[in-house]
Amino acid sequence: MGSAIPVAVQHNLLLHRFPFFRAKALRTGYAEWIGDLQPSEISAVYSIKVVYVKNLPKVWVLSPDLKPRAPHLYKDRSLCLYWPQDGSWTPECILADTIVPWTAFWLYYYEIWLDTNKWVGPESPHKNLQGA
Amino acid sequence: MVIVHRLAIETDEVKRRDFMLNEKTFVTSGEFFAELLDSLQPPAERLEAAQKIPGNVREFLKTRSDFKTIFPYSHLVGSYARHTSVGDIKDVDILVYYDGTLQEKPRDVINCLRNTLSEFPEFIKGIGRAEVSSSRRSVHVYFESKDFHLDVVPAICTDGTENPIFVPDREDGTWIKSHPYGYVEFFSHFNERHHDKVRPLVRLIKHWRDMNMEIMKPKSYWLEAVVIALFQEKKLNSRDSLAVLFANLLSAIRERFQAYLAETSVPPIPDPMLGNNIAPNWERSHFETFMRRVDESANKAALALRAQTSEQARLIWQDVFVTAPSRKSWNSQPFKQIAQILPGTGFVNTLGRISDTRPASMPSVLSKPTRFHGE
Repeated sequence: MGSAIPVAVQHNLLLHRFPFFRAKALRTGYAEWIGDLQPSEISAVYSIKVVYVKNLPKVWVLSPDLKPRAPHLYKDRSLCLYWPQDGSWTPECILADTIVPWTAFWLYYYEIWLDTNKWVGPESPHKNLQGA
Repeated sequence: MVIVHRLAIETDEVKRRDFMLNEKTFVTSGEFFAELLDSLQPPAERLEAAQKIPGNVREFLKTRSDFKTIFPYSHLVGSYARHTSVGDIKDVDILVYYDGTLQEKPRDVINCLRNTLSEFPEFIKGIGRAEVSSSRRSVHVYFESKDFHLDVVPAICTDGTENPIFVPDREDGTWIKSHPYGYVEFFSHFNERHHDKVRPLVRLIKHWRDMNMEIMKPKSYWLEAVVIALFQEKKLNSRDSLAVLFANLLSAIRERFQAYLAETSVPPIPDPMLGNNIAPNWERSHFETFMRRVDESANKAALALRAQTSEQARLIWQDVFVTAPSRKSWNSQPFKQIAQILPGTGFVNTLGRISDTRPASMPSVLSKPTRFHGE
Protein backbone atom coordinates (compact mmCIF):
# COMPACT_ATOMS: atom_id res chain seq x y z
CA MET A 1 0.00 0.00 0.00
CA GLY A 2 1.35 3.46 -0.86
CA SER A 3 1.55 6.36 1.55
CA ALA A 4 -0.78 9.35 1.79
CA ILE A 5 0.11 12.37 -0.32
CA PRO A 6 1.18 15.25 1.96
CA VAL A 7 -1.12 18.24 2.20
CA ALA A 8 1.49 20.57 0.72
CA VAL A 9 1.79 18.37 -2.37
CA GLN A 10 -1.99 18.17 -2.69
CA HIS A 11 -2.08 21.96 -2.52
CA ASN A 12 0.52 22.44 -5.26
CA LEU A 13 -1.15 19.96 -7.56
CA LEU A 14 -4.58 21.47 -6.93
CA LEU A 15 -3.47 24.99 -7.75
CA HIS A 16 -1.57 23.76 -10.78
CA ARG A 17 -4.62 22.05 -12.24
CA PHE A 18 -7.21 24.55 -10.98
CA PRO A 19 -5.40 27.88 -10.67
CA PHE A 20 -8.57 29.73 -9.70
CA PHE A 21 -8.67 27.93 -6.35
CA ARG A 22 -7.01 29.42 -3.29
CA ALA A 23 -6.12 28.03 0.11
CA LYS A 24 -7.93 29.38 3.14
CA ALA A 25 -5.96 27.17 5.53
CA LEU A 26 -2.92 25.00 5.00
CA ARG A 27 -1.08 23.05 7.67
CA THR A 28 0.06 19.53 8.37
CA GLY A 29 -2.95 17.25 8.25
CA TYR A 30 -5.44 19.99 7.38
CA ALA A 31 -6.28 22.17 4.39
CA GLU A 32 -9.19 24.20 3.15
CA TRP A 33 -9.60 25.58 -0.35
CA ILE A 34 -12.22 27.77 -1.99
CA GLY A 35 -12.72 27.94 -5.75
CA ASP A 36 -15.18 28.32 -8.59
CA LEU A 37 -16.47 25.65 -10.91
CA GLN A 38 -18.78 26.19 -13.87
CA PRO A 39 -19.69 22.85 -15.44
CA SER A 40 -20.96 24.31 -18.71
CA GLU A 41 -21.06 27.62 -20.54
CA ILE A 42 -24.70 28.16 -19.65
CA SER A 43 -24.33 27.14 -16.01
CA ALA A 44 -24.14 29.33 -12.97
CA VAL A 45 -20.71 29.65 -11.42
CA TYR A 46 -20.59 27.62 -8.22
CA SER A 47 -18.38 28.58 -5.33
CA ILE A 48 -17.15 25.46 -3.59
CA LYS A 49 -15.17 24.66 -0.48
CA VAL A 50 -12.90 21.65 -0.19
CA VAL A 51 -11.86 20.65 3.31
CA TYR A 52 -9.15 18.04 3.70
CA VAL A 53 -8.63 16.74 7.21
CA LYS A 54 -6.83 13.57 8.23
CA ASN A 55 -6.63 12.50 4.58
CA LEU A 56 -10.37 12.67 4.13
CA PRO A 57 -11.84 15.21 1.70
CA LYS A 58 -15.23 16.87 2.01
CA VAL A 59 -16.79 19.33 -0.42
CA TRP A 60 -19.55 21.86 0.10
CA VAL A 61 -21.25 24.20 -2.36
CA LEU A 62 -21.14 27.69 -0.85
CA SER A 63 -23.21 29.40 -3.53
CA PRO A 64 -25.71 29.40 -5.09
CA ASP A 65 -27.88 27.48 -2.64
CA LEU A 66 -28.50 23.85 -3.49
CA LYS A 67 -32.06 22.66 -3.70
CA PRO A 68 -33.17 20.91 -0.54
CA ARG A 69 -33.27 17.14 -0.87
CA ALA A 70 -30.92 17.16 -3.83
CA PRO A 71 -29.56 13.67 -4.33
CA HIS A 72 -26.09 12.55 -3.34
CA LEU A 73 -25.64 14.80 -0.36
CA TYR A 74 -24.63 13.82 3.14
CA LYS A 75 -26.61 15.04 6.15
CA ASP A 76 -24.11 17.87 6.63
CA ARG A 77 -24.85 18.87 3.00
CA SER A 78 -21.39 17.94 1.83
CA LEU A 79 -21.36 16.32 -1.61
CA CYS A 80 -21.22 12.58 -1.92
CA LEU A 81 -18.65 12.19 -4.66
CA TYR A 82 -17.62 8.57 -4.36
CA TRP A 83 -18.74 5.29 -2.85
CA PRO A 84 -16.24 4.30 -0.20
CA GLN A 85 -16.75 0.64 -1.02
CA ASP A 86 -15.46 1.26 -4.54
CA GLY A 87 -12.08 2.33 -3.22
CA SER A 88 -12.10 5.13 -5.81
CA TRP A 89 -10.77 7.58 -3.22
CA THR A 90 -7.79 6.73 -1.00
CA PRO A 91 -5.20 9.04 0.57
CA GLU A 92 -2.82 8.06 -2.26
CA CYS A 93 -5.13 9.81 -4.72
CA ILE A 94 -4.57 13.34 -5.97
CA LEU A 95 -7.44 15.67 -5.05
CA ALA A 96 -7.04 17.59 -8.30
CA ASP A 97 -7.49 14.40 -10.32
CA THR A 98 -10.42 13.06 -8.35
CA ILE A 99 -12.38 15.13 -5.86
CA VAL A 100 -12.40 18.43 -7.76
CA PRO A 101 -13.28 16.95 -11.19
CA TRP A 102 -15.91 14.77 -9.48
CA THR A 103 -17.35 17.93 -7.96
CA ALA A 104 -17.62 19.46 -11.44
CA PHE A 105 -19.45 16.33 -12.60
CA TRP A 106 -21.68 16.42 -9.53
CA LEU A 107 -22.70 20.00 -10.39
CA TYR A 108 -23.21 18.99 -14.02
CA TYR A 109 -25.58 16.18 -13.11
CA TYR A 110 -27.23 18.30 -10.41
CA GLU A 111 -28.24 20.90 -13.00
CA ILE A 112 -29.70 18.23 -15.24
CA TRP A 113 -31.51 16.77 -12.21
CA LEU A 114 -33.00 20.20 -11.45
CA ASP A 115 -34.57 20.28 -14.90
CA THR A 116 -35.48 16.64 -15.39
CA ASN A 117 -35.71 15.03 -11.95
CA LYS A 118 -33.25 12.40 -13.15
CA TRP A 119 -29.75 11.84 -11.94
CA VAL A 120 -27.94 10.77 -15.08
CA GLY A 121 -24.55 10.30 -13.47
CA PRO A 122 -23.25 6.94 -12.25
CA GLU A 123 -24.58 5.97 -8.83
CA SER A 124 -23.68 3.48 -6.18
CA PRO A 125 -26.26 0.76 -5.75
CA HIS A 126 -28.06 1.92 -2.60
CA LYS A 127 -31.62 2.68 -1.52
CA ASN A 128 -33.32 6.06 -1.13
CA LEU A 129 -32.36 7.64 -4.44
CA GLN A 130 -34.98 10.32 -3.96
CA GLY A 131 -35.74 12.72 -6.73
CA ALA A 132 -37.01 16.27 -6.32
CA MET B 1 -27.91 14.33 27.23
CA VAL B 2 -26.05 17.45 26.17
CA ILE B 3 -24.92 15.79 22.94
CA VAL B 4 -28.46 14.64 22.09
CA HIS B 5 -29.78 18.14 22.80
CA ARG B 6 -27.16 19.71 20.51
CA LEU B 7 -27.94 17.26 17.70
CA ALA B 8 -31.63 18.11 18.05
CA ILE B 9 -30.87 21.84 17.69
CA GLU B 10 -28.67 21.21 14.64
CA THR B 11 -31.35 19.07 13.00
CA ASP B 12 -33.96 21.77 13.65
CA GLU B 13 -31.62 24.33 12.10
CA VAL B 14 -31.21 22.21 8.97
CA LYS B 15 -34.97 21.79 8.75
CA ARG B 16 -35.50 25.53 9.09
CA ARG B 17 -32.96 26.28 6.40
CA ASP B 18 -34.50 23.69 4.10
CA PHE B 19 -37.90 25.29 4.64
CA MET B 20 -36.52 28.69 3.59
CA LEU B 21 -34.86 27.19 0.54
CA ASN B 22 -38.06 25.43 -0.44
CA GLU B 23 -39.59 28.83 -0.99
CA LYS B 24 -37.11 29.41 -3.88
CA THR B 25 -37.50 27.70 -7.19
CA PHE B 26 -34.48 25.93 -8.57
CA VAL B 27 -35.52 25.50 -12.18
CA THR B 28 -32.52 26.29 -14.37
CA SER B 29 -34.07 25.85 -17.84
CA GLY B 30 -30.62 24.64 -18.84
CA GLU B 31 -31.96 22.24 -21.43
CA PHE B 32 -34.08 24.91 -23.11
CA PHE B 33 -31.18 27.33 -23.41
CA ALA B 34 -28.74 24.63 -24.51
CA GLU B 35 -31.12 23.61 -27.29
CA LEU B 36 -31.79 27.21 -28.27
CA LEU B 37 -28.10 28.09 -28.54
CA ASP B 38 -27.46 24.89 -30.44
CA SER B 39 -30.19 25.82 -32.93
CA LEU B 40 -28.53 29.20 -33.53
CA GLN B 41 -25.29 27.62 -34.71
CA PRO B 42 -24.65 28.30 -38.39
CA PRO B 43 -24.76 25.29 -40.73
CA ALA B 44 -21.39 23.66 -41.37
CA GLU B 45 -21.23 24.53 -45.07
CA ARG B 46 -21.82 28.21 -44.29
CA LEU B 47 -19.09 28.17 -41.69
CA GLU B 48 -16.80 26.73 -44.31
CA ALA B 49 -17.62 29.52 -46.78
CA ALA B 50 -17.19 32.14 -44.06
CA GLN B 51 -13.82 30.71 -43.13
CA LYS B 52 -12.49 30.25 -46.66
CA ILE B 53 -13.60 33.23 -48.72
CA PRO B 54 -12.07 36.08 -46.67
CA GLY B 55 -8.70 34.34 -46.84
CA ASN B 56 -9.07 34.15 -50.61
CA VAL B 57 -9.70 37.92 -50.74
CA ARG B 58 -6.58 38.58 -48.72
CA GLU B 59 -4.42 36.41 -50.98
CA PHE B 60 -5.92 38.01 -54.07
CA LEU B 61 -5.25 41.56 -52.91
CA LYS B 62 -1.67 40.70 -51.99
CA THR B 63 -1.06 39.92 -55.68
CA ARG B 64 -2.44 43.24 -56.89
CA SER B 65 -0.49 46.42 -57.47
CA ASP B 66 -3.58 48.49 -58.37
CA PHE B 67 -4.81 48.32 -54.78
CA LYS B 68 -1.86 48.04 -52.44
CA THR B 69 -2.41 46.53 -49.04
CA ILE B 70 0.06 46.52 -46.19
CA PHE B 71 0.77 44.14 -43.34
CA PRO B 72 -1.26 42.63 -41.73
CA TYR B 73 -3.25 43.00 -44.98
CA SER B 74 -6.67 42.12 -43.61
CA HIS B 75 -8.62 41.16 -40.55
CA LEU B 76 -11.98 39.56 -40.09
CA VAL B 77 -14.27 41.85 -38.13
CA GLY B 78 -17.98 41.98 -37.40
CA SER B 79 -20.25 39.46 -35.76
CA TYR B 80 -18.74 36.45 -37.52
CA ALA B 81 -15.29 37.31 -36.17
CA ARG B 82 -16.71 37.67 -32.67
CA HIS B 83 -18.79 34.47 -33.00
CA THR B 84 -21.95 36.38 -32.19
CA SER B 85 -23.77 35.55 -35.41
CA VAL B 86 -27.14 33.92 -35.01
CA GLY B 87 -28.50 31.39 -37.43
CA ASP B 88 -27.18 31.29 -40.95
CA ILE B 89 -24.04 33.30 -41.72
CA LYS B 90 -24.91 35.21 -44.82
CA ASP B 91 -22.40 37.96 -44.61
CA VAL B 92 -18.92 38.46 -43.36
CA ASP B 93 -17.08 41.74 -42.84
CA ILE B 94 -13.42 42.04 -43.69
CA LEU B 95 -11.14 44.99 -43.12
CA VAL B 96 -8.34 45.46 -45.68
CA TYR B 97 -5.40 47.68 -44.75
CA TYR B 98 -4.86 50.09 -47.60
CA ASP B 99 -1.41 51.46 -48.19
CA GLY B 100 -2.53 55.06 -48.58
CA THR B 101 -3.03 58.32 -46.67
CA LEU B 102 -5.93 60.19 -45.14
CA GLN B 103 -5.54 62.84 -47.83
CA GLU B 104 -7.05 60.45 -50.36
CA LYS B 105 -10.82 60.66 -50.71
CA PRO B 106 -12.71 57.61 -49.40
CA ARG B 107 -14.79 57.57 -52.58
CA ASP B 108 -11.66 57.22 -54.73
CA VAL B 109 -10.24 54.46 -52.55
CA ILE B 110 -13.53 52.55 -52.64
CA ASN B 111 -13.75 52.90 -56.41
CA CYS B 112 -10.23 51.58 -56.77
CA LEU B 113 -11.04 48.66 -54.46
CA ARG B 114 -14.20 47.88 -56.39
CA ASN B 115 -12.37 47.86 -59.71
CA THR B 116 -9.73 45.53 -58.28
CA LEU B 117 -12.25 43.20 -56.67
CA SER B 118 -14.24 42.97 -59.91
CA GLU B 119 -11.51 40.54 -61.03
CA PHE B 120 -11.67 38.51 -57.79
CA PRO B 121 -14.24 35.92 -59.02
CA GLU B 122 -11.84 34.88 -61.78
CA PHE B 123 -9.09 34.47 -59.19
CA ILE B 124 -11.11 31.81 -57.43
CA LYS B 125 -12.04 29.17 -59.91
CA GLY B 126 -15.25 27.37 -59.22
CA ILE B 127 -16.77 30.05 -56.98
CA GLY B 128 -19.28 30.91 -59.67
CA ARG B 129 -20.76 34.27 -60.41
CA ALA B 130 -20.18 37.16 -58.09
CA GLU B 131 -21.60 40.67 -58.12
CA VAL B 132 -19.36 43.48 -57.02
CA SER B 133 -20.87 46.79 -55.95
CA SER B 134 -19.80 49.67 -53.81
CA SER B 135 -21.39 51.81 -51.10
CA ARG B 136 -20.21 54.84 -49.16
CA ARG B 137 -18.05 52.77 -46.86
CA SER B 138 -17.25 49.45 -48.48
CA VAL B 139 -17.22 47.19 -51.47
CA HIS B 140 -19.80 44.48 -51.43
CA VAL B 141 -19.22 41.14 -53.12
CA TYR B 142 -22.16 38.77 -53.46
CA PHE B 143 -21.41 35.15 -54.34
CA GLU B 144 -24.52 33.91 -56.06
CA SER B 145 -23.84 30.19 -55.92
CA LYS B 146 -23.16 30.35 -52.17
CA ASP B 147 -25.75 33.05 -51.42
CA PHE B 148 -22.99 34.70 -49.46
CA HIS B 149 -22.12 38.38 -48.98
CA LEU B 150 -18.70 39.79 -48.28
CA ASP B 151 -18.35 43.38 -47.10
CA VAL B 152 -14.82 44.64 -47.74
CA VAL B 153 -13.99 47.83 -45.86
CA PRO B 154 -10.79 49.71 -46.72
CA ALA B 155 -8.92 50.95 -43.68
CA ILE B 156 -6.02 53.30 -43.25
CA CYS B 157 -3.71 52.58 -40.39
CA THR B 158 -1.77 55.53 -39.00
CA ASP B 159 -0.64 54.03 -35.71
CA GLY B 160 -0.62 50.26 -35.90
CA THR B 161 -3.60 47.93 -35.80
CA GLU B 162 -3.59 47.87 -31.99
CA ASN B 163 -4.85 51.46 -32.09
CA PRO B 164 -7.93 52.91 -33.81
CA ILE B 165 -7.76 53.03 -37.59
CA PHE B 166 -9.68 55.07 -40.15
CA VAL B 167 -12.53 53.79 -42.27
CA PRO B 168 -14.90 55.59 -44.63
CA ASP B 169 -17.77 57.27 -42.87
CA ARG B 170 -21.19 56.09 -43.95
CA GLU B 171 -22.72 59.52 -44.13
CA ASP B 172 -20.39 62.22 -45.36
CA GLY B 173 -17.58 60.62 -47.31
CA THR B 174 -14.79 61.36 -44.86
CA TRP B 175 -12.50 59.07 -42.90
CA ILE B 176 -13.63 58.35 -39.37
CA LYS B 177 -11.88 56.69 -36.49
CA SER B 178 -12.90 53.14 -35.74
CA HIS B 179 -11.44 50.13 -33.97
CA PRO B 180 -13.19 47.06 -35.33
CA TYR B 181 -10.25 44.70 -34.97
CA GLY B 182 -9.44 46.02 -31.52
CA TYR B 183 -13.05 45.37 -30.66
CA VAL B 184 -12.77 41.74 -31.74
CA GLU B 185 -9.88 41.30 -29.31
CA PHE B 186 -11.60 43.31 -26.58
CA PHE B 187 -14.81 41.29 -26.92
CA SER B 188 -12.98 37.99 -26.73
CA HIS B 189 -11.18 38.95 -23.51
CA PHE B 190 -14.30 40.55 -22.05
CA ASN B 191 -16.27 37.37 -22.68
CA GLU B 192 -13.57 35.25 -20.99
CA ARG B 193 -13.45 37.54 -17.96
CA HIS B 194 -17.20 37.15 -17.58
CA HIS B 195 -17.30 33.36 -17.44
CA ASP B 196 -17.96 33.08 -21.20
CA LYS B 197 -21.46 34.42 -20.68
CA VAL B 198 -21.27 37.57 -22.83
CA ARG B 199 -21.16 35.87 -26.20
CA PRO B 200 -24.17 33.57 -25.67
CA LEU B 201 -26.10 36.44 -24.12
CA VAL B 202 -25.46 38.63 -27.16
CA ARG B 203 -26.59 35.82 -29.45
CA LEU B 204 -29.72 35.32 -27.39
CA ILE B 205 -30.73 39.00 -27.38
CA LYS B 206 -30.16 39.22 -31.13
CA HIS B 207 -32.28 36.13 -31.67
CA TRP B 208 -34.95 37.49 -29.31
CA ARG B 209 -34.99 40.72 -31.32
CA ASP B 210 -35.33 38.82 -34.61
CA MET B 211 -38.21 36.73 -33.28
CA ASN B 212 -40.09 39.60 -31.64
CA MET B 213 -39.59 42.39 -34.18
CA GLU B 214 -39.97 42.15 -37.92
CA ILE B 215 -39.33 45.79 -38.73
CA MET B 216 -37.86 48.78 -36.91
CA LYS B 217 -35.29 46.54 -35.25
CA PRO B 218 -32.36 47.99 -33.32
CA LYS B 219 -29.00 47.18 -34.89
CA SER B 220 -27.10 44.16 -33.64
CA TYR B 221 -24.08 46.23 -32.65
CA TRP B 222 -26.27 48.47 -30.52
CA LEU B 223 -27.60 45.48 -28.61
CA GLU B 224 -24.09 44.15 -28.19
CA ALA B 225 -22.87 47.49 -26.85
CA VAL B 226 -25.75 47.62 -24.36
CA VAL B 227 -24.93 44.12 -23.08
CA ILE B 228 -21.31 45.12 -22.57
CA ALA B 229 -22.26 48.36 -20.81
CA LEU B 230 -24.58 46.49 -18.44
CA PHE B 231 -21.83 44.05 -17.49
CA GLN B 232 -19.40 46.92 -17.00
CA GLU B 233 -21.92 48.72 -14.79
CA LYS B 234 -22.38 45.49 -12.82
CA LYS B 235 -26.09 45.37 -13.61
CA LEU B 236 -25.49 41.82 -14.82
CA ASN B 237 -23.67 39.10 -12.89
CA SER B 238 -21.88 36.55 -15.03
CA ARG B 239 -21.95 34.04 -12.17
CA ASP B 240 -25.68 33.57 -12.79
CA SER B 241 -27.03 30.88 -15.06
CA LEU B 242 -27.90 31.91 -18.60
CA ALA B 243 -31.65 31.83 -17.90
CA VAL B 244 -31.30 34.21 -14.96
CA LEU B 245 -28.91 36.40 -16.95
CA PHE B 246 -31.26 36.72 -19.89
CA ALA B 247 -34.20 37.63 -17.67
CA ASN B 248 -32.02 40.17 -15.87
CA LEU B 249 -30.81 41.56 -19.20
CA LEU B 250 -34.35 42.35 -20.34
CA SER B 251 -35.13 43.90 -17.00
CA ALA B 252 -31.90 45.92 -16.99
CA ILE B 253 -32.53 47.24 -20.52
CA ARG B 254 -35.98 48.34 -19.45
CA GLU B 255 -34.60 50.08 -16.38
CA ARG B 256 -31.76 51.73 -18.31
CA PHE B 257 -33.96 53.24 -20.99
CA GLN B 258 -37.19 53.74 -19.03
CA ALA B 259 -36.63 57.46 -18.39
CA TYR B 260 -36.37 58.18 -22.11
CA LEU B 261 -39.92 57.01 -22.69
CA ALA B 262 -41.14 60.15 -20.94
CA GLU B 263 -39.04 62.31 -23.23
CA THR B 264 -38.92 62.82 -26.98
CA SER B 265 -35.28 61.86 -27.51
CA VAL B 266 -33.69 58.40 -27.79
CA PRO B 267 -31.04 57.08 -25.41
CA PRO B 268 -27.39 57.17 -26.42
CA ILE B 269 -25.52 53.88 -26.68
CA PRO B 270 -21.79 54.25 -26.09
CA ASP B 271 -19.33 52.47 -28.36
CA PRO B 272 -17.47 49.96 -26.17
CA MET B 273 -14.10 51.02 -27.62
CA LEU B 274 -14.37 54.67 -28.47
CA GLY B 275 -17.19 55.85 -26.22
CA ASN B 276 -19.07 57.82 -28.89
CA ASN B 277 -22.80 57.38 -29.33
CA ILE B 278 -23.35 54.69 -31.94
CA ALA B 279 -27.13 55.14 -32.17
CA PRO B 280 -27.70 58.82 -32.98
CA ASN B 281 -30.06 57.83 -35.79
CA TRP B 282 -32.28 55.51 -33.72
CA GLU B 283 -35.76 56.64 -34.61
CA ARG B 284 -38.07 57.53 -31.77
CA SER B 285 -40.93 55.28 -32.95
CA HIS B 286 -38.51 52.38 -33.36
CA PHE B 287 -37.19 52.91 -29.84
CA GLU B 288 -40.71 52.94 -28.42
CA THR B 289 -41.61 49.72 -30.23
CA PHE B 290 -38.44 48.08 -28.95
CA MET B 291 -39.25 49.12 -25.39
CA ARG B 292 -42.75 47.68 -25.60
CA ARG B 293 -41.31 44.33 -26.67
CA VAL B 294 -38.69 44.49 -23.92
CA ASP B 295 -41.33 45.22 -21.33
CA GLU B 296 -43.56 42.34 -22.42
CA SER B 297 -40.71 39.87 -22.50
CA ALA B 298 -39.14 41.06 -19.25
CA ASN B 299 -42.41 40.36 -17.45
CA LYS B 300 -42.66 36.90 -18.99
CA ALA B 301 -39.03 36.09 -18.23
CA ALA B 302 -39.55 37.03 -14.59
CA LEU B 303 -42.42 34.53 -14.49
CA ALA B 304 -40.24 31.88 -16.08
CA LEU B 305 -37.71 32.27 -13.29
CA ARG B 306 -40.43 31.78 -10.70
CA ALA B 307 -41.91 28.71 -12.41
CA GLN B 308 -42.25 25.75 -10.11
CA THR B 309 -41.42 23.15 -12.73
CA SER B 310 -39.15 23.03 -15.74
CA GLU B 311 -42.20 22.31 -17.91
CA GLN B 312 -43.84 25.57 -16.87
CA ALA B 313 -40.61 27.48 -17.36
CA ARG B 314 -40.10 25.98 -20.82
CA LEU B 315 -43.55 27.07 -21.97
CA ILE B 316 -42.90 30.61 -20.85
CA TRP B 317 -39.43 30.77 -22.42
CA GLN B 318 -40.88 29.44 -25.66
CA ASP B 319 -43.28 32.36 -25.56
CA VAL B 320 -40.46 34.84 -24.87
CA PHE B 321 -38.48 33.57 -27.85
CA VAL B 322 -41.55 32.91 -30.00
CA THR B 323 -40.51 29.32 -30.60
CA ALA B 324 -42.99 26.66 -31.55
CA PRO B 325 -44.25 24.66 -28.58
CA SER B 326 -42.57 21.28 -28.50
CA ARG B 327 -43.16 18.28 -26.38
CA LYS B 328 -40.52 18.39 -23.73
CA SER B 329 -37.90 16.03 -24.88
CA TRP B 330 -35.07 15.01 -22.72
CA ASN B 331 -33.74 13.25 -25.78
CA SER B 332 -32.64 16.47 -27.46
CA GLN B 333 -29.24 16.21 -29.06
CA PRO B 334 -27.35 18.53 -26.70
CA PHE B 335 -28.56 16.64 -23.66
CA LYS B 336 -28.00 13.22 -25.22
CA GLN B 337 -24.37 14.19 -25.62
CA ILE B 338 -24.22 15.54 -22.09
CA ALA B 339 -25.61 12.36 -20.58
CA GLN B 340 -22.94 10.31 -22.31
CA ILE B 341 -20.05 12.14 -20.67
CA LEU B 342 -19.06 10.22 -17.58
CA PRO B 343 -16.39 10.44 -14.92
CA GLY B 344 -13.63 8.31 -16.31
CA THR B 345 -14.10 9.39 -19.92
CA GLY B 346 -14.89 13.09 -19.61
CA PHE B 347 -12.43 15.97 -19.33
CA VAL B 348 -12.63 18.81 -16.82
CA ASN B 349 -10.80 22.04 -17.62
CA THR B 350 -9.41 24.62 -15.21
CA LEU B 351 -12.80 26.36 -15.02
CA GLY B 352 -14.60 23.15 -14.17
CA ARG B 353 -16.13 22.77 -17.66
CA ILE B 354 -17.00 19.24 -18.66
CA SER B 355 -16.36 17.99 -22.19
CA ASP B 356 -16.14 14.68 -23.96
CA THR B 357 -12.93 15.59 -25.78
CA ARG B 358 -9.76 17.21 -24.50
CA PRO B 359 -10.23 20.96 -24.93
CA ALA B 360 -7.67 22.57 -27.21
CA SER B 361 -7.74 25.98 -25.62
CA MET B 362 -7.16 25.22 -21.96
CA PRO B 363 -5.43 22.64 -19.73
CA SER B 364 -7.70 19.91 -18.50
CA VAL B 365 -7.80 16.74 -16.47
CA LEU B 366 -9.06 13.40 -17.69
CA SER B 367 -11.46 12.52 -14.90
CA LYS B 368 -11.31 9.25 -13.02
CA PRO B 369 -14.30 6.94 -12.65
CA THR B 370 -16.54 7.26 -9.64
CA ARG B 371 -20.04 6.47 -8.50
CA PHE B 372 -21.99 9.05 -6.56
CA HIS B 373 -23.23 7.89 -3.22
CA GLY B 374 -24.99 9.71 -0.39
CA GLU B 375 -28.02 9.32 1.79
